[in-house]
Amino acid sequence: MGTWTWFHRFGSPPWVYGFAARWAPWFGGAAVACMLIALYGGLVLAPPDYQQKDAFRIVYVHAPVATMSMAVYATMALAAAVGLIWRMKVAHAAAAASAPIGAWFTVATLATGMLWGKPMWGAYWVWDPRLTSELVLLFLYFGYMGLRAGIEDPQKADKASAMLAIVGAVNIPIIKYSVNWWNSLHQPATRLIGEADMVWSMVWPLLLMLAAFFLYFAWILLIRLRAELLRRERNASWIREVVA
Amino acid sequence: MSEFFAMSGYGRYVWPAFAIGFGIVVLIYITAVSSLAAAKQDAKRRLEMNR
Amino acid sequence: MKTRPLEAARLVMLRDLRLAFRKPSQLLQPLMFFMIVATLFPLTLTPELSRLRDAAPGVLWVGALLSSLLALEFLFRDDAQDGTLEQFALSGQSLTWMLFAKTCVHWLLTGLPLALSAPVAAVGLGVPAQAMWSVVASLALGGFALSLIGAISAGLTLGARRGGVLLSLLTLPLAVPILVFGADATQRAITGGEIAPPMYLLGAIAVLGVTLAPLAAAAAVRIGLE
Repeated sequence: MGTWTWFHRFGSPPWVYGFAARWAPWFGGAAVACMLIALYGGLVLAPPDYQQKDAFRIVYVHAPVATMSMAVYATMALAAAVGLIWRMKVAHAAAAASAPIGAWFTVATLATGMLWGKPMWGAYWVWDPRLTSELVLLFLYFGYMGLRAGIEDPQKADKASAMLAIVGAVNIPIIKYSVNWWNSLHQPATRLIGEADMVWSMVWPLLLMLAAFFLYFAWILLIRLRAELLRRERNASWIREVVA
Repeated sequence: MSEFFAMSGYGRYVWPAFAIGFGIVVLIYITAVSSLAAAKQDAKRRLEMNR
Repeated sequence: MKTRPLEAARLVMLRDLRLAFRKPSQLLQPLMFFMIVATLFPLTLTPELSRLRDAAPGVLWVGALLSSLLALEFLFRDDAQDGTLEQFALSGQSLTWMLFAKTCVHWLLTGLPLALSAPVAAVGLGVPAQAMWSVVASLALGGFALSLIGAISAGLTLGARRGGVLLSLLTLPLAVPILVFGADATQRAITGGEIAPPMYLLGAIAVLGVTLAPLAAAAAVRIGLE
């Protein structure tokens, strides 16, 4: 069985539905297990940081959600591109399913970033490059979801929002570059977050937590994807077997 | 134990951060599962109607 | 029969310009909007020119962005409604070039006049005389880039309900780099610094926009017209 067979399978909504139903729990279980272990490692086992003391532990929730906010966007844009190029309904469904997840991760990044910023920089919000870029990313997510909601015809909505996701993806590096440029002009106070020396006992919980969040995203995507497919394929015959 | 909760004085930032962060994680799960349940319900209804 | 794309573009440009000049009062609206916005800031901040000078780059660029967004709504709307856009798409001529022509007209009628009249607003914001040239240049270049990006969102929101608000919502995050570099150029001009770096970056964005934006806009319009 070559890659082409797999490709065809992923183009078939009923097959993907079955795949998602079967594998989701495994991703979920693995994600939760990794999260719990990483949480223990980060909150209990890791020593406090020299400069930030225990405040640095916020990294164990902030870094994963920040990474995911970007990773989900990349997934969304990739799925959208696949959907446009190969006209795969499932790909468009995956893009649609990913968007709310990514938006939530972005909100979480901003909230945890603010809670980290207050003890470190003295203010809940600072216009530092990373937080500012995250805020713009949130606006991009809202734009994507808004465009989808604003177009009635589902196929048009798929294609238009796919274009938007791709244009956004091209723009994100440019936006980040411009925000870094803007920020460096105004000589902000030295940022203490993240660049501190980390020993292995601090690093492994972070790596594990990152892996846990990727597994978690896969889990949630497989759930939301099923919901999308059910909604899109309303009158298809395979739905009968699934729901009965 | 109380040291653990105090987090060398940063407790009032660390714990809310984890609460919000993982709270959102739980929220994402809940919304996902309920959207799947709603979609299944909807599909079932439509099948009944078209029978 | 396929005319050369440049020829089709030229014809579309002439047509759009002719149509626009039939309603000259409408041409002034984005300009008026810009002036009003530029007036609101002193009214809500302070009459002191020295303090306004600090805010001047922001006021000028946000004002320029908002006026550009207002005018963008009409980039494709009339033509979409009366079926002209569909004719363009079906004509067998290069939709990309035709939309590029429309984008250029949008800039010629909005971004460029705005840039040229910006000194009037800038004087009211405490911008020194020697900075005016750079203010005009940066707003002209940035305005062109804004029109290009805006054409993409205008195409995407063609078929959407409440397309106007959505168009702004889509364009604003994408316009961040233009605003950052443009405002930096203006700021440097005011303080007498070297404006070349941000201008080059603005130029780079404009070049990237010219190459990619009309293509994306054409694809978006085709999706919207299906």
